[in-house]
Amino acid sequence: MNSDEHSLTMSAVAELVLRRPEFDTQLDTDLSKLHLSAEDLRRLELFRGLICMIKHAFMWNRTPRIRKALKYSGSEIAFFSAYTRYTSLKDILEWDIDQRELAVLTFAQDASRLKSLGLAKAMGISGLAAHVLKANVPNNQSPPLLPMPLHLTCAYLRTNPSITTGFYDNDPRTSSWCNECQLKPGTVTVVYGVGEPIAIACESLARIVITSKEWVKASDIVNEFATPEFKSKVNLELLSSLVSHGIMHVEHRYA
Amino acid sequence: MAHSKNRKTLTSNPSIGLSYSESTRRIIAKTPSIVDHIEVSYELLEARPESWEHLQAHPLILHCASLSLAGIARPSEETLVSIRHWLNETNSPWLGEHIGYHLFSSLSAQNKGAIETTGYTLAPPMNATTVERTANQIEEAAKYFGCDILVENPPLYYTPPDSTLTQPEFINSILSSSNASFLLDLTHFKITSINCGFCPLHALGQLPLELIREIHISGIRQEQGIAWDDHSAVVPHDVLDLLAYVCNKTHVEAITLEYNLTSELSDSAIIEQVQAVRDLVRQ
Repeated sequence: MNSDEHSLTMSAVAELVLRRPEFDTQLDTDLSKLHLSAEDLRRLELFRGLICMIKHAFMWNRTPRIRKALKYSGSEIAFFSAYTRYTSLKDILEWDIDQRELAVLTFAQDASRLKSLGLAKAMGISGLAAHVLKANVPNNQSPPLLPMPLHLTCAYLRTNPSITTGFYDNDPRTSSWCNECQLKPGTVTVVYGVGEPIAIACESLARIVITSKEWVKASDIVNEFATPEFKSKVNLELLSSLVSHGIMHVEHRYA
Repeated sequence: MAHSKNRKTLTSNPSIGLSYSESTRRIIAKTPSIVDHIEVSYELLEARPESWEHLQAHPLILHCASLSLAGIARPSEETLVSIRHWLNETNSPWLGEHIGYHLFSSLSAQNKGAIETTGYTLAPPMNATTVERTANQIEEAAKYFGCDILVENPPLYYTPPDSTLTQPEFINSILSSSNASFLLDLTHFKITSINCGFCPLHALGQLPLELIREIHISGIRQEQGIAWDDHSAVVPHDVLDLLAYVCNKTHVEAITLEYNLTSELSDSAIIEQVQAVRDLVRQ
């Protein structure tokens, strides 16, 4: 092997580790030059997961229970390796912590994707969501009726409805990306996903349960699932009215 | 060694230390004498210079993952100047660096030829070409920094393509072709022995133990049939056995427990590990 080929080999391994989309198009050609066995390729892809996991070490503090679930299920490296099949490590390394957190939680949110990887059951994660209810206010107007902008934040649920889940991440009012949002007087934690009505305790105003990944109208939420506790603390009629009249809308924060 | 210039020497023998982390900061704030030295990475000092206020009163060893010693692409002058600055600030007795690379020439169509980073050390092809290049770059680094360079064995998770040497042969060749000393990471070595299927005790006998000045130890996790480096788990007993073996065979100046990944490992568990290592090397 001459020096050019030697250099190319080292760069190709590095590109495999970073796994950027444009390199994937060359992958078949370059892999054949590398003479990697299938087992070594599997190990290298897991190694990429290890790097990704280390770059997400902050999750011990910011999303500790999710991280524990991954670790104790023995699929932490596999999870991050799977994540880097969908998101290039090159991109991840260029993101700041907030961007990394949002992206990896969005990945974890997709229960069907995790299930296809054989990870969902082991981890007990079936859905994560972070949405923001924002006011539809034209820039040149002062806010109309906005007694309580709602911040619908990241939450966690398990597929087993008998499991009582607590709030899985930091207090949304103190997590950094929530602090960037101007809409934070009222905080509501929302769980959704996989068709099971699972409530989680919310330390702030209320609890809401949504039973599918599709957002339903606020009035439906209120009528079908709102608890007395919720009703006693939140002006649901006002909320429903704000949403149904287009004064507020639900924004998928990760979109 | 030819490159030592008025560097601090470690007073204890061997010096027992911890890599810097939040838990290390708490531990030394409460009981400064629990460790003889603290290992701090250049990258952490660069990213979080505020850490310096917690460190400067302690004997320090500077560790580094930015030189890309086994790579073809070279670090920037700015990086070298910055490492030299921290070497002087820390008064580290040496500079520890990995036998690895993270800088490379991009193959990406959009960025072809530009120097890029993987953000993490990769194990290089273990062959004569890499040996020669790495040895030359160690000498250049030693000359530039004016200190001894200790090179650390990386853990192998896959066989680096284009390899013609075993890891012990590769390490021996680099050390015999340069003035570097050896930073033996026993956990990396144990991981490599598991993943490559060799007897670690037998392979230790093939390494130049007399060149060891510092030893690293940390945890191992098993997942997907592979052993992985884990700086958030306690040192396994069989790695402590290897430590005892090496300490019986040669004089080691420093032993560093690397628990620098945020984890559930309690401060008391870390202190117990430090004490266990101290007891072990006294025997």
